[in-house]
This record gives sequence, structure tokens and C-alpha cells, in this order.
Amino acid sequence: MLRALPLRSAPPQPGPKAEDELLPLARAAIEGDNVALRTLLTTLAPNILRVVRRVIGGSHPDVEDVAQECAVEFVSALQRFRGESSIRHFAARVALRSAMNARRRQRAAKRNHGTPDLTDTDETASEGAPPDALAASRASVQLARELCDSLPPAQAEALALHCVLGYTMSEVASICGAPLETVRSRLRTAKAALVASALADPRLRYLVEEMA
Amino acid sequence: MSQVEPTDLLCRSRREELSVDEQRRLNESLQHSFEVRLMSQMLSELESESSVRRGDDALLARITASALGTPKRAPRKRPKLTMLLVAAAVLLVAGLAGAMLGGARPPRTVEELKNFFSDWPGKVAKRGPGHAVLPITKPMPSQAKLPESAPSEAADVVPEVPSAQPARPTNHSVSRRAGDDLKVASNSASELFARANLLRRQGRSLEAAGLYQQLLELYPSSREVGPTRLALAKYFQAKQPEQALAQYRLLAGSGGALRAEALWGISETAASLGERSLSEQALKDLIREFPDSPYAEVARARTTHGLP
Repeated sequence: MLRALPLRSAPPQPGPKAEDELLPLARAAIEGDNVALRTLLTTLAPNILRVVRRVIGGSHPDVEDVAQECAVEFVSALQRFRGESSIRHFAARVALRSAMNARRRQRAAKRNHGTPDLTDTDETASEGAPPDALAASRASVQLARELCDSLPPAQAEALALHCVLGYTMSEVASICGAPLETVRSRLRTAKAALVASALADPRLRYLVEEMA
Repeated sequence: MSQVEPTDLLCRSRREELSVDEQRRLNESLQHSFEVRLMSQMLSELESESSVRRGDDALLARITASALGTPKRAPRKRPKLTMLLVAAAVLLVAGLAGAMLGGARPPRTVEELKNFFSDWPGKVAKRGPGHAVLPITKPMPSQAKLPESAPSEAADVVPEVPSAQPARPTNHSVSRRAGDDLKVASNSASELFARANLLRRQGRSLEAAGLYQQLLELYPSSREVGPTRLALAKYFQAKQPEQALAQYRLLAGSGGALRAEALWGISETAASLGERSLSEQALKDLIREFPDSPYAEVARARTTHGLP
């Protein structure tokens, strides 16, 4: 009986009922129903905000601007929604891409103006040294964000969806519209790069020592 | 043997979807795999960073309202082709204007051009006080949309025209001068405001706040004062709520389009300072004066269920 189960296929998705409930709303919104669009946006705005906070940082001064940009982008992209993934996953992907683009733009602007990345230093250089575990956690998040900026787009997207937003591999495959094995391969490479960076980072020594 | 990756188990454990057996396997992975341990740390940190916080309901209302208000793409995401076409059109119009104004004369220097444009309404004013002030040459399309004579009273108080627009000709030379001075001020205020916004977007909040304060001191009558007060209030809100409250009160007192946002800010800041009655009063004013505002819905929920 167990052998009959397709072990490599997607496990049951969380909350499929809720996802199905949003599809009629999405269709109505695409057809120009403003009330449906408002309801859809009200439902999905917390997801969009969550994605933005995870990608650019919860205390980043531009969280609101970027979240608004993501919501506008989602409304534009809704016309292209063909129901290949759930509407929640679609919104998460649109928001992720917009937020990652915003992050890259900001980093480029900071480089051009010759100023340090204040967001990252704000997170680590706060007064009163935090405990090692807290510092290691913050450093690990920073590493993942930096890696997402430098990896090839497909790998960066997979890494962000899995390690930053917490989607399982099968969900990442569904969101990206890619085969599970492809996603697995992308994640293997990206996670190897993440681990290598983490092992080389002195801020994460606490984590390494704890493992040892 | 299961093929489920330990990091997948980690993702599912965050949603409390693991069976006892899966949880046991995850615990083993956490002890032996650096990768899983690292990701666990990351997800914990990210969860706390993206957790729901005070003021999120209003923030979400603004996000929704902004997306509903602008169903098209944001301006800065305009396709390159459109930008090129706009640039080409601007160059073409500028070229035509240059040909019409300059004629066969030798090209003007930059200084001459500056003087030419600054003196342009003055030259026309010499025609006589009774004449309507019109441009010497055929008006540009953008100028043609403007009224032929602007009310001089408006120029004496606060320029209502956005600073990017060309100066309106007027038939009162004194008013024109006053208007010109204000125009210069308004241009400078808008430049200062733009620079401050740029700094804020770059995360240089302290420098941005300095520029905002400079703007308030130098141009207290400019049209940028409202948004500047709002930006300053937001800057102060977390660490200096008293100053934030002062800015919000000034903004609310000046009325205008930002009063709803100011009332919301008063409510939030007063609540954080423990001034419950002020906070409630601001919410009541907000609901009464701006019943259709995105804040009003949240304000109604708060007044119904009590402040959080």
C-alpha cells in the first residue's frame, strides 16, 4: 500500500479549500468586478506584506512602498493568471519577484551613491550586543538575502521560496511551474552555496560550534 | 523509505503538519545536519521579522487602496519604448519651439536663454496695463492648456500650480514679481523635498529628516509642507512619539487632503503614549470626516472592539 504512494510527487497542499475559494474571486476580478478585486486584495494583502518583510527585512523603511508596488504588480499580473497554480501561490510569486527586484534596485542605488547598506548594518550593529544565537540567526537571514541577490534568477527564486518563505519543494515546483526534480536540483545548488557561505562567516561560528 | 527532504519537513513543521514519526526524523536532522539547523534558524528569525505588528491593519488598508487606485503599472515601471517616445516628443517640441522663438538669430548662450525666459512675461507686460498678457509667440501645447491670465491674488498667497509647470503670465507686475519669488521658493522647496525623499528611500533617514526640517524652516508656506510634516511624523513615530504627535497635530490642523492620515497618526501615536482619550477622539473625527477613507474601516473596527 505504501509503495503505491508516489513518494516523489507533491504531498497534500496546505489549505487547498481556501485556495479553491479564491479562484472564483480571481476570475471575477479578472473580468472587471471591482468588488471582487477589493475582496481578493484584502485577503491577499497580508501574504504580500509577509513576503515583502521576509525579502527586504521587517524593519526596512521601504516596506510599505515595496508592498504597494507588489500589490499594484499583482493587479497587473492578474490578467495573466491562467489557474496553473493557486491564486495564493501566484500572488506570492509576483510579490517575491517584485520585492527581490526592489531589493536589487536599492542595493544598486546604494552602491552608486557609495553608501553602506544601512539595512543590513542596522540589523547587526544595534546597541547592546545580542546573544550569539540571535546574532547567528540574523546573520543567516542576511546571508540568504545576499545569496538571493547574487545567484542566477531561477536558483534565487527557488531558494527564496523554500528557505525564506518556507514553501516545501513540491510547492515551489507548483509555484514556479517547474518539474519537482528541476526544483530539487536548483535548491541543491543554492543550498550548497548557502552552507558554504555560512561556514565561512565568522558570525555563524556559534552555530557551527554548537553542531560540533 | 521516504524521499521527503529534511528541509521540507522543517517547512511543514512550521505549519504544524508533521506526524510524530516525521517530527522525530526532523529532530534527528536538526541534530546532525548543519543545513537543516541553519534553515531552522533562518525561518525562526524570518517569522519574527514578518510577524503581525501594531498598525498592520492600517498598513494593509493603504496597500489595498493603493493597488485599487492604480490598476496600471507604477510610473517608474513604464516600458522603455514609451519612455523613448515621450523623450522624442519632448525633443521635437523643444526643437520646434527653439526654431519659432529663435528664428535665424545665432544660437543663444545658456545665460541668454535664462534671461530670455525670465524676462518673457515682463516684455509682454510693457504693452500696457489694460492688455491681457499673452505669450509673444504661438503658445506651446502645454501652455495653451493654461488659463490666459492667472488670478493675481493666488500668486500673493501660495502658488497653487505645481512647481514643475511653467510660470503663468499675469497682468499685474507687482503680483507677478511676488509670484515669481514664490515660484522660485516653490521650486526650491520641491527640489528639497525630492532630495529628502531620495535619501529616505536610500535608507538615509537621519539625513532625510534634516532636509525635511530644513524645508519646513525655509519654506513654511510651500505646498510641500503637508507631505513633509507627514514624512517627519513617520520618522519620529517610533523613537520620539511626542515630536511625531506634534507634527501630526500641525498637519491635521492645516486641513487638506492629508488630514485623514494625520488623524490616524494622532490616534496611533497617542495610543502609544498612553493618551487613550486623544486617540479615541482622533478615531471618531476620522470616521465622521472621512467615512470612505481606507482608515475609516479600521477605525470603526477599533472603536467597536476597543483599542488594541
